[in-house]
Parts: sequence; structure tokens; C-alpha cells
Amino acid sequence: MPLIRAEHLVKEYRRPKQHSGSFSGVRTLFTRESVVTRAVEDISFTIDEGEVVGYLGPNGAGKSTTIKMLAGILVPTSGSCEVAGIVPWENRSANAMNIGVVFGQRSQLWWDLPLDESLHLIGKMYRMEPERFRRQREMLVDLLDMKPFLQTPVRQLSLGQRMRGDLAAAVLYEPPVLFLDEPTVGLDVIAKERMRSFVEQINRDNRTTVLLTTHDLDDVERLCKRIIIIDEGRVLFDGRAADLKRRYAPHRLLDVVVAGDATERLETVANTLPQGVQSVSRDGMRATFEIDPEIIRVADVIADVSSRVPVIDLGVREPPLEGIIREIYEAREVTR
Amino acid sequence: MSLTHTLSICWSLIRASIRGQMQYRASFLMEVASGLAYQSMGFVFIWAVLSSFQSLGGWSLREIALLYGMRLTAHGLYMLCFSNVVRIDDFVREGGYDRFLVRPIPPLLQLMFSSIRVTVVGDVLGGIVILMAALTQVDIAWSAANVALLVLALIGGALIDGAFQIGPAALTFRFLESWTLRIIFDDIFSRFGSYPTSILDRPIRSVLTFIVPMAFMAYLPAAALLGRETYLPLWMGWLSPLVGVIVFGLALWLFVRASRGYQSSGH
Amino acid sequence: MIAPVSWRLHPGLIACTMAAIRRTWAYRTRFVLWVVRMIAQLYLLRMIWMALYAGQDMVEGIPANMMIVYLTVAMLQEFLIQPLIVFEIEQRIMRGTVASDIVRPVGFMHQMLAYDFGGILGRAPVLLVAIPLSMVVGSLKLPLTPAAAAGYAVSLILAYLISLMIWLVVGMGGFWMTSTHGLRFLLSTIQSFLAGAVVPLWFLPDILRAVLQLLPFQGMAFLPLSIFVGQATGIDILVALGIQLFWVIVLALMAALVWRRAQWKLVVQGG
Repeated sequence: MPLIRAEHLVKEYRRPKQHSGSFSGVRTLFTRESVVTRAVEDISFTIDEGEVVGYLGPNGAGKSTTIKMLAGILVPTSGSCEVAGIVPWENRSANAMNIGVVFGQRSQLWWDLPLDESLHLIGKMYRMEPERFRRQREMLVDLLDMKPFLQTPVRQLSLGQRMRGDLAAAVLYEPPVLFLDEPTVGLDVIAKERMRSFVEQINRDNRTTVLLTTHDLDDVERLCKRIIIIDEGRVLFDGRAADLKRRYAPHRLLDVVVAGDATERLETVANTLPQGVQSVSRDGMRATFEIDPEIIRVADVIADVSSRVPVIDLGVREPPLEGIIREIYEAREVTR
Repeated sequence: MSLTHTLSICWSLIRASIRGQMQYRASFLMEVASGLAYQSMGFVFIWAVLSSFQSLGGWSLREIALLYGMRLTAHGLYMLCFSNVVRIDDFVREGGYDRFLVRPIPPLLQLMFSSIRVTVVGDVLGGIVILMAALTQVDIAWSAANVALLVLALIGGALIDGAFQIGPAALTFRFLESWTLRIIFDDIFSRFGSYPTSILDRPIRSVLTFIVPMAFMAYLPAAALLGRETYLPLWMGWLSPLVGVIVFGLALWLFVRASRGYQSSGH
Repeated sequence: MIAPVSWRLHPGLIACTMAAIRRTWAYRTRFVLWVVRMIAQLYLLRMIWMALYAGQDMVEGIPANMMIVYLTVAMLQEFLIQPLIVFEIEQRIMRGTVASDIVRPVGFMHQMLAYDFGGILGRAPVLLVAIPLSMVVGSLKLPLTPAAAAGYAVSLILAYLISLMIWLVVGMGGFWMTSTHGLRFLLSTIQSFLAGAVVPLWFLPDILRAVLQLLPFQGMAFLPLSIFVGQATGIDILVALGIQLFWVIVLALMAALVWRRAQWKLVVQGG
């Protein structure tokens, strides 16, 4: 039984046509002309309870628009969606009880108030029992390490602190669904890591379903088993991250480091590789080979290489998601 | 959602917003003073003018003071609840309205109480002072009915005021701004709502009675209280709350309908 | 370090003025709104005053139609002379650009004055529409005598200078106060009353009139308007101009003093 369901969602934006020249403002006000843009062309997917899904796409692909429809902020032009059995825009209040939303670009907190007061207000809005509120607040303060700035007005918080506050505000009332729109944008490495491990934890402990848009594919690698890629308002790919790699980049990368006196022999190896292996980069005592597992087994390549040069260190990796997704976007550019 | 819960949340929002503002105490007093000055300027005008001219439309200074006090108190009540509606253009254009939509409280309530201007307290106080002073000066036979009429008229006046801000505000969802229209109504009401509507030319008077029911904001109920003849039967003064509820209901309906067209900002 | 105010025309000044004109026209939608509001207000004000006169020809020696002309011109004048300078000063102080403005070849004060003047030039064309319209709605009549016309022209310039100096001082208050917003709002609310733009001083109770006659504000509206409608004639015109000139000098000295102290504060205390 899917928790989130989107069926043939379409969203058109209609903006009054801007006139220029004299009295443009007045003319804009009285004109009936408008410019229509289609941000979401046709999007369908379902998400089950407990999934963490990465929702990816280039700028303007329609990611935020989809999330805003699921959150009840926008009314779809056509198509339908349901979150936990509720049509978001028809029953906003009920939907709001089920979802937590974090927009990385814009805080949902009360700007002039201490963070703690924002939490209290939200507890009140979501009708939390005092006991439950106290427990949740304590847990979140602890988990997100918010104690040092709990009494600081939100406008004085650093971006990382503010994002932690926003995240706490979004999960305080334990919603079964969490929408994260660019939650790590602008954060430093440590803050990003804290964010990721928190999302991981609430997904594990509460089976919270998470839909995440991001430009940082490390977020996705770390958190999402499943990926939906959209572009120009349509779904390009929907499936497991592993499947994406298998389909678009089935190879593995083998990193090799050899002893200092063996750099010449490493070059010979690189020039006489077996079929299905390619040299990607070489720099003195380091080299990276790309292996196509359909043609040759990774273990065989390792055996072959280590028999010919004294290997100090080696490692096998999957190709990074980033490169794959870039390739997908670029391929689209070409066919366009 | 129960009414008590809604009210208790509104109260929390109001308290939060006041606490938020207290952080900028600096020009706070000055703003209260200017709010008060702005509202009493109109009365100073009437007072000054009526020292040379004995009456306006047959109403003495004392009677006009009552009219003025009623209008200003109603306006203060309106400001207490709806002063934040003026910010709708910014909220809608910059997407700040988003956050109201993802919370389990009606968005309009959140907009209304997201920040209360503490300075409006000055408006209410100014209105009440003038109203009380005028009440001691005019000749009204006090009865339960008259007290009810006064209270209902204040509520009706506030509702009419609110309707002509919230109704136009609905246009923002489509045109991304509506301040022009809101300013025009606010201007007309605050400049001319506290004079006897009877002094206006017939066509204008009809418009300001039956289409934009400014006459019901204070003039007709005040006339009923004072037992003064108007161009309408005296009992019409009692209709003020009814007119208020009707136009406010219409405005609310328009607002909710139009808010479906909200487009957020950015995509 | 403190530059003396020199009145040589710098090309930069003209550029500042032109920029102000362009900026004024960026808000041209508001002009349309203003004209609509003005017409509506004139119409309603006219009815209020007609009701006040209630058929009497004259009150305190002022005929009703003179009153309507008075209010119409007051409104047109108020549109032309707007205290935009105070916003600009406040903004520059708040953003902290004063420090860099002050070292430009065209001084800060010159920039501000040029900016304000540009605003007037920018708004002036609107009057080409507003004046004919208000002749219809407000029954605007032009001054009867050449003396009144000439007197009004001089008086209007002096009125502008008085307004400019008052708002200059208020704006520079920002060097000492965290925000001049409250003060500005308060003053802009009551100034049109103090100036006699809402009720001419003739109709005020004696005490109030005596107080307002001691303040500079009457020079912004009441004095020029009395000349315009022909209530002040002959020697009275000269007296009115004299009072205005007196205030221009006093306020200009005050502004210069405040500016000197502000510069000192900027230079010595770093803002």
C-alpha cells in the first residue's frame, strides 16, 4: 500500500503578462493576457512507507513544484496525488498533520523568536500533548545538539544551526512523511554529515518516509536506495540507485598504488591490459582502471595486476553517481 | 478543529509576535505616538473646523465626536486582527505564504497573526478615549438595547473594514499585488467614514451605502443611537452587524477561492 | 577635512538630478493612483466643506469657493513638495554608504539636494494632467492679480526650501538615533495639519492659531496659499514672504550646524 501516490501530475504556471513602457503597472493590472509555463508535464510515481527517495533533476525540472503539490501548497493543473490517503490541496490541515517540510532556501521558523519558542508554537499548532512535546523536544535537542543556541533568536543563527532548527521543527510532531527540498544547500561538510545521519536515524527508528531533492549527490549516495530523476517535467528514471549504475555505468573502478620503484612496470601494465579493462588515469605510482564486469571478472583483473607489479594498496569502487547523472543530463541536451 | 483550540493558537501566535517585536524597542514608543497622532488628526480637524462652523450636516461637534469615536474604535478592532493583511503582496510574491499552507491552521489566520503591530493598541485606545468622552457629552437614553446597538455597531464596523481589505487581498493571488485597491478603500474609510454620510451627493451616497457600505460602519448606527433623522429609516442602524457579516463572508469566500490559484515563487 | 559647501555646478550634480528623475518615473504607476485619489478626495472634501458652509456665503470672511481653491492648490503643492530626501538620507545612513558618499567629488549634501530637486522635476509633468483635472473637479481658479501670481511663485519656492530644511534636519537625526522612522512618520502625519494644508489657520481656534503662527510649518502651505487665493494682498504678501525667508535662514543655519556635527561624528568616531 503506497504512502505517496502521484498520478499524471501536471502543473502550469500562469503569470500576468508584464507590459513595458509607460503605465506598465496599470496595464498589467487590467490585462487579461497571461503567460503559461508548464513546470510539471506528466509525473507519476508511488512511494511506499519507510522509503527514502532521492528526487533529482536539473534546475527548473519541476522538483520543487512536485513537492509543493504534495505538501498542499500548489493545486495541480491536472492529475492527482495522495499523501497517506489524503488529497493534499483539498484537505490541507489534515495533510499538514502528516507531513514535515524543510525548504533549504527558506526557513519555516519565526525569525524574531528564539528557536525554542518556535518549537513550542509548532507543538501547539499540531496539538501535541505536553508530555509528548517535552519528550520529543528533549530528544531532538539532544540528537541535533541544539542546546547551545536554543534560546537564540532564529535570525542570529548560522545557516547550519538554522537548518538543524528547521529539521527539528519539521519532525517534532513525528509526521509519517518528510519532504526535504535542498536540505543541505550551503552547509559545510560537518553540518551536511549531521543532517544526513539524522535523516538516516529517523528513517530507521520511526520508519519515516522521506522524499529528498538535492543537488548534492553525496546526500543521495548516503541516504537513498531509490532515485527518481526528472527533467522538463517528466520522469526520466525511477528505480534503485544500484540499477541506475548498472544501466548507465555498469563498470567498476580499480585504484592501484604500487611501490615507488615500480612506476615503470605500472606503465607497462597499463599499456598491456586485458580485454574489458581500460586505464582511466595514471599518476606516478597510482593508477585507476575501469573494468567491465560483463567481459572480465574484477577478481581476475586484481590477480593479473598484482602478479605483475608489487601492489601496496588497492581498492574497488563503483563509479560516482554524480558522473552518471551528469551523463544522463548531457545525453538529453544532445537529443534535444 | 475546535474553536477553542483555534483561539488558543491565535493567542499563542499573537504573544509570539509581540515578544518578537519587543526586541526592537527603540522606535517603538515613537511609532505608537505616530499611530495615535495619525488617528487623532482627523478629530483635531473636526474640532478645529467646528470652532468656526457650528455644525456639519446638522450634527454638532459632540455628535460627530461620537461618530468619530465609534468609527475609530471599530477601525482599531479591525487593525488588531487584520493589520497584517497589508503584507500579503510580499508574502505571495516572495513565496512566504508557503509556510502558512503546510501548517494545520487556516492560512488566513496565520497571515493575520504572523505579526501583530503593537502600535495598533494606540488606535484602539485613541478610539475608546474619544468614544467615552463623547458618550458623556451626548444625550442618549441608555437602555440595554442602546448598549447592544453600540457594541454590535463596533463589531459590524470592524467587519466591514476587514471585508474591504481581505476581499481585494484575494486579487494578489492572481495579479501578485493588490495594495492599490486596498489603499483606496482604506483612504476613503479613514478620511470620510467618520462624517455624516448624508452630506454627500445622492449618487455617491448611494454607492457608499449600498455597494461599499461605509454608511453602516458608524454613521447609520450612530444616527440610530442619537435618534437623528437620516436618508434611511432609523432602524437601518441595527443592520450594521448583519451587513458586516455578509460582506465579510463574501470577502472570505473570495479569498479562499482565489488562494487556490496561489503559485508560490520559483519552481 | 570638513569640506566647505561650495555651490559650483559640478557635472556630477546634474547626473544625480537626472538619476533622481529616472527613479521618480520608475514609480509612475503611483502617479496614476495619486491623480485618481486626488480627484476622489477633492470631490469628497468639496462636499464636506459645502456642508460646513451650509448655504452661508462667508465664514470668517472667507467665501466657500475660495476655500475649495485653497484646498485644491494645497493638494497639488503637497504632491510636488515631498520629503523624499529624508528617506534617502535614512537609507544611506542605515546602509552605511554615507562614509563613501562623503569622499566623492560631489559631496553628500550636494548629492542629497540634487536628488531631491530631481524628484521635483520628475513629478512636475504629472501636474500637467492634475491641474486641468482639478480645475474641473475642484473649481481651481488661477490668481486674480499679477502681484498674487508673482508673490505665490516666490512663496512656493520658499515653501519648498522650508520643507527641505526641516526634513534635512530630521533625516540627519539618523546619525544619532538608531532609527528615524518613528519620528519621520509622526512628523509626516501632523505636518500637513501644522502647515495649514488641511484647515487654513483662519478657521482655527485662537490658541491653536497663535501656536501655529510661531512655528515654521505655516510657511509650507498656509502662507503661499493665502497669497494664491488672494486673501493676503499688498503689504501682507511681503510680510508673508518675509516670515518665510526668516524661517529659511534659521532652518538653513540649523541644518548646517547639524551637518557639521554629523560630519565630525563620521570623521572622528567613524559613524
